[in-house]
Amino acid sequence: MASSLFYFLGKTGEKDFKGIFLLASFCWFLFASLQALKRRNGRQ
Amino acid sequence: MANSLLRLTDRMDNLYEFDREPVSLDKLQSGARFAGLFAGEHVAATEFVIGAFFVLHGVSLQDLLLGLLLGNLLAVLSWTFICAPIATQTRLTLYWYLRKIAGPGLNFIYSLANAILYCILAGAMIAVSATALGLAFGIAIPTLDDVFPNSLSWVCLTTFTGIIFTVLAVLGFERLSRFAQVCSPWIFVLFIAGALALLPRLGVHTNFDNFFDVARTRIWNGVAAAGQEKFHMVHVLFFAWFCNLAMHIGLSDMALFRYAKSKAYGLYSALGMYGGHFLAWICSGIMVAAIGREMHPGLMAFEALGIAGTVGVFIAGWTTANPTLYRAGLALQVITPGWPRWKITVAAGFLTTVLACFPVFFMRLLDYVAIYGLVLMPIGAIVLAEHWIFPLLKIEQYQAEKKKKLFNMKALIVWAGTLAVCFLLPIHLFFRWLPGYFMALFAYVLLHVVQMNRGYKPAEKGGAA
Repeated sequence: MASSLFYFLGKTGEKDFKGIFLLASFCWFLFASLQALKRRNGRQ
Repeated sequence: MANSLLRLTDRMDNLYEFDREPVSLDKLQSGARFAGLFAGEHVAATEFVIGAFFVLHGVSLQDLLLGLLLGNLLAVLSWTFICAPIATQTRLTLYWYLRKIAGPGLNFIYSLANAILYCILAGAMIAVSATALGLAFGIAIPTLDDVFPNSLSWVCLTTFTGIIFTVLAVLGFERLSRFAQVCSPWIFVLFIAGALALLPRLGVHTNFDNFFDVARTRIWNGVAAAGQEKFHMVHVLFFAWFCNLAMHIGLSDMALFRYAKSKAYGLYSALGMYGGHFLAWICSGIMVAAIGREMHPGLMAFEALGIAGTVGVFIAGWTTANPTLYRAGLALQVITPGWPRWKITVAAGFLTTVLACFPVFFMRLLDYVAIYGLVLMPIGAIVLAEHWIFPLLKIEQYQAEKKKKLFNMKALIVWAGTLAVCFLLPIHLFFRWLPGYFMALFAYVLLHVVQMNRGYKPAEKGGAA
C-alpha cells in the first residue's frame, strides 16, 4: 500500500513501484502463511 | 415419484445432519469473528466487474456516492432487522427452518435452484480469472454485448481455468479456504493500491486538490458507454441493497447468524458493505476509467500493479469460486446417490466451466445478480411471514412439519406466482424484487387466512418439533 502511495506522489518510477509491489506481495504471503501455520500448530 | 422424492430428501437431510440441532449457547461466537468474516467475504473477484460497470453505465459521482451510502445502509439494516433476529431466535440454518415451514420437497427444489445459481456465479468468477490469464497469452476477451463465446481461444481459456479450479477444489476445499483467508487482506490492498497507482494517469494531482473534478469529469462523468443503459442513483441504491439479497432478505445467512450472541451482530455486516463493497467498487471504477473504459479486470490490475495485479485477479477469482463450487457441490449431492465428494465436485466444476465459456454471465453480471436475488427472495418472505406474522394473526405455524407434508403447496404457489408476476412487472429488473417481496408476504398470509376462515383443523399437538 505504501509503495503505491510513493508512486502516486512521484517518489518512485512505475517499474520500481511494480517490482516493489510484487516483492511486498510475496513477502506478505510468506509471512501470512507462516503465521497461519504457527496458529494451526499451536492449536494442535 | 413421491417415493423417489422422499428418498432424495432423506439423503439431503443426512448431508445436513450435522447442523440439524439449534446451536447451543456454548458454541456462540464473538463479535470479532463476525467482523473478520464480513470484512473478508465481501472483497471478491466480482467487485472488479461491478464497480467498473457503474462507470460504463454512466453513473455520475453524486449518484454513485449517495446510492452506495444508502443502498449499503439498507443492506446492513436488512441483515440486522430481518436475518439476524430470525437466526438468533431459532438458532437454525435456513435449510432446517425452511424444512419445517415448506416441507422437504420444496426444500429440495430450493437447494437445486441454489446449486444452479451458485454454478453460474462461480462461472462468472472463472471468467474474471480467465481475463487475467488471457493477458499472459494475448487472448482477446469478449466484448460487452457478447452472449456466446466469440472465439475458440476464449473457450479454451475459460475451460483451462475451470479445469484448474476444479482440480484444485478436488484436492482439498479446506486447504483452499485457509489459503483464501491469507489472501483476503491482500486482495483488499490490491483494490486500494491499484486505484491509487492509476490516479496520476487520470490527471489527479499529488495533493488531491483536483480529485473531485477528475472523478466528476473523467471517471463517473454520467456518460454511458455505447450500448449500455444509463444508470441513476436509484439503480446504484437498489443494486447495493440487493447484491446480497439471498443472504439477508433471502435469509441464507441464518447459517452464520445462528452463532451470534445477539441480533445486533447484524451491524457487523457494515464492515463488508462499506469496507468491502463501497471501497472496492469505487476503486474498480477508477481502474476501468484509467484503462479507457474497457471491461477487462485482468488488464485493469496489470496496468495498475503489474504482474502482482494480474496474479491478484486470478487468485481473487479462484478463492471466491472455490467456496461457491463447494456450495454448489453440496446442493448437487442430493441428486447423485452414493457419489464420492470428488465426483460431485467434478460435476459441479464441469457445469460451472461450461457456463463460464458464455460471456453473457460475466458481461451482464449486474443483471444476473438481480435475477439471483429475485429467484430466492420469495422464500425469505415465506419464512418471515411464518416466523413473525403468523403468531400475530394466530395462524398455526409449521403446518408442513406437523402434518408431515412433502410439499407446502401454498409456499410453492406463492414462490412460483411471485416469480411469474415479477417477470411480467413493467419496471426495471433491479426494482422488481421489492414489490415482489411484499406481494409474496401478503399472498402467503392471505392463503392461510382464507384456509383458517374455511374451518381449518389444526394439527394435533405433539407433532411439532
